[in-house]
Order: sequence, then C-alpha cells, then structure tokens
Amino acid sequence: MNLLSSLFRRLLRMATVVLLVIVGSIVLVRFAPGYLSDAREMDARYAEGARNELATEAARSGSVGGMLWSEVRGLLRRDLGVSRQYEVPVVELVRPCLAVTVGLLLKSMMLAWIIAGCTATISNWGRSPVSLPGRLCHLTSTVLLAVPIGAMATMCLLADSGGPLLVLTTLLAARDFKFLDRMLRKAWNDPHLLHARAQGVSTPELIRVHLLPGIMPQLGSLATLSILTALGAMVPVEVIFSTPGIGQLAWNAAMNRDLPVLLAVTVMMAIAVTASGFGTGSRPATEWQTA
Amino acid sequence: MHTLHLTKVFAILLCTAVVAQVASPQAAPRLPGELAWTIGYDPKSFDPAKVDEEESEHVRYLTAGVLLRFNRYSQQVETQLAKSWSLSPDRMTITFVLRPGLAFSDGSRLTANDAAWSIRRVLLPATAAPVAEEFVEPAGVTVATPNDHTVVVHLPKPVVGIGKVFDEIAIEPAGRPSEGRITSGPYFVADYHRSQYIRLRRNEHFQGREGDRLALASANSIRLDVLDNAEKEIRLFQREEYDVINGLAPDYYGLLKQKSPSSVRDLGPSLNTEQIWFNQAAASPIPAWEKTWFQSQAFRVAISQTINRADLARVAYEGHATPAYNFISPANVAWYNHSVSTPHFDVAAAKAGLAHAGFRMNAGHLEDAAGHAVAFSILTNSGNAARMKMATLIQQDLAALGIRVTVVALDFPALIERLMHTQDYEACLLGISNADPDPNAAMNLWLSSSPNHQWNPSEKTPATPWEAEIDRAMQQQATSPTEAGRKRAIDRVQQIVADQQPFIYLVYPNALYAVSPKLENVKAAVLNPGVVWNVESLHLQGAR
Repeated sequence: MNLLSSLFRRLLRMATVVLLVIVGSIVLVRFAPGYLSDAREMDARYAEGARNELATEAARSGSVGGMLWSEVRGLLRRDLGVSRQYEVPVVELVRPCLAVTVGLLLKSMMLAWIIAGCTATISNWGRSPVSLPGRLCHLTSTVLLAVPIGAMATMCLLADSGGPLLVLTTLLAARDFKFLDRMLRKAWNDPHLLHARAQGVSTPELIRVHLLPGIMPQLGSLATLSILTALGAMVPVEVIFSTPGIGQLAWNAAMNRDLPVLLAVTVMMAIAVTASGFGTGSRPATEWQTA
Repeated sequence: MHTLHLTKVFAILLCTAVVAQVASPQAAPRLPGELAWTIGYDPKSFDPAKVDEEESEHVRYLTAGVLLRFNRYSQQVETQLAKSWSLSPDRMTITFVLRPGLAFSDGSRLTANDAAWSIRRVLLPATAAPVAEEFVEPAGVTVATPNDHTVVVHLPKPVVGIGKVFDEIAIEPAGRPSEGRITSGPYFVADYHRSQYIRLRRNEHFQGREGDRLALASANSIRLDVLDNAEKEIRLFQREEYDVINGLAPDYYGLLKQKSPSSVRDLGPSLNTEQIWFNQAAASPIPAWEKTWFQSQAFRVAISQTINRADLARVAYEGHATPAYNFISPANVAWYNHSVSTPHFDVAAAKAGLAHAGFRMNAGHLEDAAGHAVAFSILTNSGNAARMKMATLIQQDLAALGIRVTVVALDFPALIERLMHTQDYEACLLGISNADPDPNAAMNLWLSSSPNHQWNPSEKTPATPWEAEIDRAMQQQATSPTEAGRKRAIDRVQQIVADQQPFIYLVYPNALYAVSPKLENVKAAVLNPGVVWNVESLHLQGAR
C-alpha cells in the first residue's frame, strides 16, 4: 500500500512537472522575438509561401490558453504535432534523434562508470589515506570538472581528435569519480570492513558481501546524478559536434522557433529527469550492519 | 595482497582500454567512388514541385530532369530532356521536342505525356509550387501534347526569361510523383537518414546533353551530409571525407590555402551583395527626426561616401570580396552597367553634403538642423563574423562624420520580425543572395508595393518620385519585347539606385570554393550550385 501511494505521488509529481514544462515552453517560445517570422520572408522567391504559413500559425497561436489545450490534448492522444520548420510529424523527427542520443548517453555513462570505478579503486588501494595515484586521479578530475563542457568539446573539435562520446565520458567519469572515491574511501575504512580485511576475507568476497550492499543506495543516487549531468551536457556537446541527436534537434528548434519540436523535446527531458529520480529513495537504504 | 595487486593492474588496463576506445575519432562511411559534400540542414521536401528553400533546391538540381537547363557556367539556357525548343513570335507559345529514347530512373519510358503532366502539376493551385508564380498568370496556361514527343505550352501573356522557368520544373512520371525516388535527372534519392545524410544514386537511364549515357562519366553515388558546422566540414574535407565545399568562408580559405593551395578557388565577385539600408517607412516606431534623416538623399549619399569599402573587403573578407556600388554584380555580365556613376569614398564631399543639407558639427558630434545628435543603431544577424566586422568598421568610418553608431546583433527570427513586421529598427546590414542573374527575379525587391521593398515595404503608392520611376522601369523591363529594351530599363534602375542610395551597397563577397584535387572535370561557376553544377561530369580520379 505504501509502495502504491509512493508511486502515485511520484507519478503525480511527474505529471505536474510535465504540465509546468508545457506551460513554460509555450509561453517562452510564443513570446520569443521572431516567433511569427520566417527567414524565407526575405527571399523574394519563397516569401509568398512563407507569409501564408505564418498567417496560419498566427491564427493557430492567437491565445496561449488555446495553444496549451491543443498541446495537452495532442499529448494525451500521443500526437506530438507537426514541425513548423520541416512540416513533418514531430515523431518522425524525434525517433531517429532519440536513438542517437540514447545510444550516446548509455555508452558514455557505461564507459564513465567503468573509468570512475577503476580510478576510484586505484585511488583507494594505497596504504596511506592520500596515495600518489589518488592525488593524481583527484587532480585530473578536478581539472576536467573545471573546464566548461563547451570548451572541452571545442578543444576536441579543433584538435580533430575525439568526439561527443569522449567529451561526455570524460565529464561523467570526472564527476562520478569524485563521488565514488569518497564513497569507497569511507566504506573501505568502516570498522566492519577493517575487521573483515584483518580476518583475511578475500577481496571479491569483501566487495560483494561487505562493501557493495552498504553503498548501493548511494550508487543509485550517483546513477541519477550521472543521468542529469549527461542530459545537461547533451545539448552543447551535440551542437558543437553536429551530432544528429535530441540536443541538436532542440537547439535547431529553439533557433527556428519550432514550438511543437521544442515542446516534445522538453517534455521528454522532463520525463527523463523526473523518472531518473524514481530509482532513488523509493527503496529503504540497506544498512551496512545487515550485510 | 596478490589478489589486490592483480585487481589494481586489471583496473588500470581496463581504464586505459576504455579511454583509448572513446578517444578514437569517428568517421562517416563512404562508398567507393562516391562524391560527398554537405548541406546545411535537412531539405524540407524532396518533391521537386514544392521546393521552397535552398537545400531542397540543391537536391532538386541534382536529381531533376528538366526540359531546359540554365547553364550556370555560360549563363545560357540549354536543352536537357528536350532535343529542341522554340518560342513563337508573340512569345506566348513554347514548343518542346523531346529527345528520343528518354526513360526514368526506374526504366519506364518518358513521353510528352509525362512532361505535360509535370508542367500542369506545378501550375495547379493545390500544388502550391513557388515556380507557378513565374508564369505570372498560371491559371491561364495550357499544355498540349500533339504527339508522344512534342509538348506545347500556351501562355496567356508573355513572360520574360520563360526558358529559365523550365529549369525549375522537374519532369516526373505522370500520376506517380515519387519525391525524388524516380527521376529523369542524373541522380535519384536512394537513401535518406534524417539529420545525417542523403544518398543519391546514379540514374543509369539519364542521357546527357549530347545524348550520352551518364554511366561513362559520373560518380556512382553522391552523399550529402547534413552538417551545419564549418569547422567540422573543413576538418573532414582535409581528411578527404568531402570533395567539395560550396561557399567557403573567407577565414577558412586562407587556412586551406596554406595546407593545400590547389584545393581552393576564388572565382572573384559572386552575384551576392552585402548592403546597409535605413528604415524609411512612415509607419515605423522610430522618432520622426530620424525618419527625416533617413529619407534625406543627402544623408544617405554622405553615409555611402564615408564608408571605405576597400577596407571592408580587405578586413572583413580577408581580401576575398569586391567593393560594391551597384545592385548588379560585375559577375553578371549581361546586366551590369559599367557606366553608372556612383558616390565613391570621399569623406570631405560627405561632410560638405551634410552641411548643405542642414547638419552641423557640435563638440565633435553631428547634429541635425533641430539640434538632435545624429546617432543610430545598425542591426545585423548574429553568427556572421564578416557582417559583424563590417558593422564595426562602418561604426569607425561614421565616427569621422561625428555620427555615433551602435551595432546590434540579433538571431535571424528576431531580426526578421524587426524588419518585416514591427519595422522597429534604424539601419540594417544584411546580404542578398542572388540565385538568378536576371534582374526580373528581384522584381519584388524594387516594386514599391512589395513587402520585400525593404527600406519602405508595401507602399500603397510610391512614396517618392524616384520610387515611382523605379516601378515604371521595372514594369517596362518585364514587358519589353526586346532584350535591348529590357537592358535600357535595368540600366535606368541602376542609375536611380546609385543616385538615391536606398541600399548602400558595400561588397560583393567573392565566390569561394574548396575542391578536392582528386575531383575531375571541375568547372566552378559563381551561380549555385557552384562547383557541382555539372554534376553529371564530375568524378574522382581512378574511380571510374
């Protein structure tokens, strides 16, 4: 019963966030300068057609309330509308981009976790609390986190080396390392682990039985943080590298005041962000003592 | 302890392997003998009748078979699917005779019926084809097919440059429009991955102008990557991933020239112009005294005389632009008027002109007769480095007259809203891309009643006598039965524009291209699509 009510509360929160995102997007884009303009108006050959399309859009977007109702009704019918820029259903635009972005995010998160896990392991294995490898790992991750993501991507582009995967992985690995290292350092020096180590318990068993159960809830939170970080970095990275993903689609939609596309992308992002929090906090934390 | 050590080694190796994997650069796949270049965005439509933006037009050029082709190099109309064509003495009947043995890319026969159907389709209001407007009265046009290889088009009234209009009408299979999948042109759309690339395959049934089969000369396929990133485009060109860069930016021209001098081409002035103009619209929400300045011929001429165009070309375009004083570029050999007298760079004359018009200097600032300090902002679009540099240089030039100028860069939608809808701006610096050398294509720009008459759009009646004269001259060129008559009218418009300076022309950006040294049969043209206008003859060395 508790689980059901918790789930209901979370779904309600998600619906509220999505609704607020829709309202916010509509208001911001509808009242952005240039909403009812089209670059083709400047081209004598295509100006007439562009003006006709704008007249239709002006009639459609007369009131924000009407637009909101139309978008919500469309979403409830799983109809994302038609792109203003390309005049094709938004679903057709989003589907291939989504595949590219999800692939990129999953790959970069997986690789980042492997790198962060390895470096945190290396960093924690010295006998002294602050070993040389640990210092080096910390210094590297601090430097990487200090570099803005756009600058990192531009450097890769100028150096003609690496790509979006490298940039996203580096960012996520640096951030994940900071948390994982702290988490492992604390857990590794917990009394029960010290006791187990002193008793000569093998390393795999030590990790499986004594370490992991204790840090699982924190790892869940870290995974959520990874997703949020990756989503935040997605737009600049995809735009700089011209990756045909959701980030670039959103950027182009914003530049062209393509409300249906922008709305679809922001709603998806809102759902992804709120859903990523589902995994954390819904389960009681496992206390290390129970391990 | 041994296990611990092994785990540590494993962690280091795994970490190294992962970093190496993600750091490897990614390259797009390329088929053997395939030509590749980029387009800036996804074409809105592959339907050749519905083309209403540049990238769709680019794909149409590569895929469409047309009765007549406007040769981008010689700037003459030539036959393509038609073996011959003729225009009646009253210029109202056009007769096309098709080549024998024509076929579509799927192997089906191409007859006069297909050509007639394609022409009728673009004329239908339901199709909403932009090219229909070029027939002036599309509803009155009739198309007949007296036999399998003849098409006769009757016009309700003569249309200037009618031959060129057929360059935009793709001949498709009657009743089977296929959005570029079945074409009568050199290529057809084989594969499209939105936001990634379009792959065009060679149409084995296409006949060149000489009736030769295309297979002997052209590339098997073309890949058009959707990429709006000049930096990345240059990198991939250098890695031989791309064969052509159309419209190379001046700063990248120098970069490429250093590394591979044979890969860059500067064809001299293009047909495009960069210009600045003042808002003269009576209804615009700017102060009345500013309108008075902008409507003053002396003021506009003085500004024109103060702008050092040679500096603009040298600094903003790194020397790859030509100072401009006329709306027709010298590259447009047929229409450029060499004898137009224009106000050239002369700051002293500008100061004298302003003094004569009632402006005066006060503590280093220019003031009008009522004591208002002369200051205005120049709008331009953000993201165009050359325009920003030009605006800054103009700001410095005008400081010599005591005029304070502010440069404002807006993104394109916001800029267009100001120009076309609210008219809330003082001056604007933008460019015009002239895809068609015939000045009739710019009719909408010059007619005072047109919404594209930028300095004062949609005038109910011409606001000034010289605008009325431009209207008359433009109508005259559109109806004149002779080319000489048309030329006289256009020459007159050039002189009026030079005298009145409604647009202060700044530079003609040069046509810059990058072409792979491996590409053969290149004859780059200033007109779009530039290097690839003769795509049916282009191929990579050793790829045949």
